Amino acid sequence: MEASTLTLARREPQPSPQLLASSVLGMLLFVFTEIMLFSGLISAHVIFLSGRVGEIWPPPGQPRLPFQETALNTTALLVSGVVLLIARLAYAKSPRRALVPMAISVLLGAFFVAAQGAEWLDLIREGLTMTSSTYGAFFYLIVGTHAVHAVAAIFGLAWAWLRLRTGELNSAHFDTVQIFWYFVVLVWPVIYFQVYV
Amino acid sequence: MLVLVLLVALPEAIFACPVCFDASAENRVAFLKTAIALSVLPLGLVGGTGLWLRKRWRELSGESDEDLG
Repeated sequence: MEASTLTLARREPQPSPQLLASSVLGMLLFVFTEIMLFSGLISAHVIFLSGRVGEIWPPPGQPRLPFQETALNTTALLVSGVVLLIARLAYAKSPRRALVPMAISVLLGAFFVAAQGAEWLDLIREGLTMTSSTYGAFFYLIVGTHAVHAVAAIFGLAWAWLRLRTGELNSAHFDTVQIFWYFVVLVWPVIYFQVYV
Repeated sequence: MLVLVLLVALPEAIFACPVCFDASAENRVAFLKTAIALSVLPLGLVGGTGLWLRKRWRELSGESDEDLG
């Protein structure tokens, strides 16, 4: 009797453990495609520059990109990523404790986008546009694509913050928006050192 | 006739090749490096995720077995 009970217990189907939430897996796959998109854009820029070795670059008559001023925006974005990590650790202990660091992260991200917008306005006034040169075309294409992603990620973070405030944010949704924000944060230094230098 | 067609078509074919008209060493190296990077990157992303999921599966399966035990 005891043996048959054991046999039956072993035959019972066990539910498969969920490796990761569907939203997290979906975001990971989306981020992979975006990594390939940015890799393609950066590769095109690398190849274009390799054909200009020995020439004056940036082209004469075109404004220089504000490398030092953009360092401040870059720092704000990187700090935003670190603060979001702190928010995630605080969320694991008590969801309410993540409210403040998450809000700081969103504000730092918004500051980055606003500062980039102000920088663009200055560059357009100085004559750098999509059609002024290949230099301008590459700049607006690569940095603009990143800015679109940054804005989308900020909306995602803001949505998550609102849900957190009402106590409706679960950890899977937090991880999903967090992955997207880390992508935006980590791809930026690559763009910065490739395009601005 | 064939020679004439080739003579007309060949210059176009040469210009279609991105390194043929600008065959500097820097350009060739840049093409090679970016081609390698763009080939390895998706394999690394998918492979890395696969290995991580396998590790996680084993960890969770181990925990389930311990629970049963």
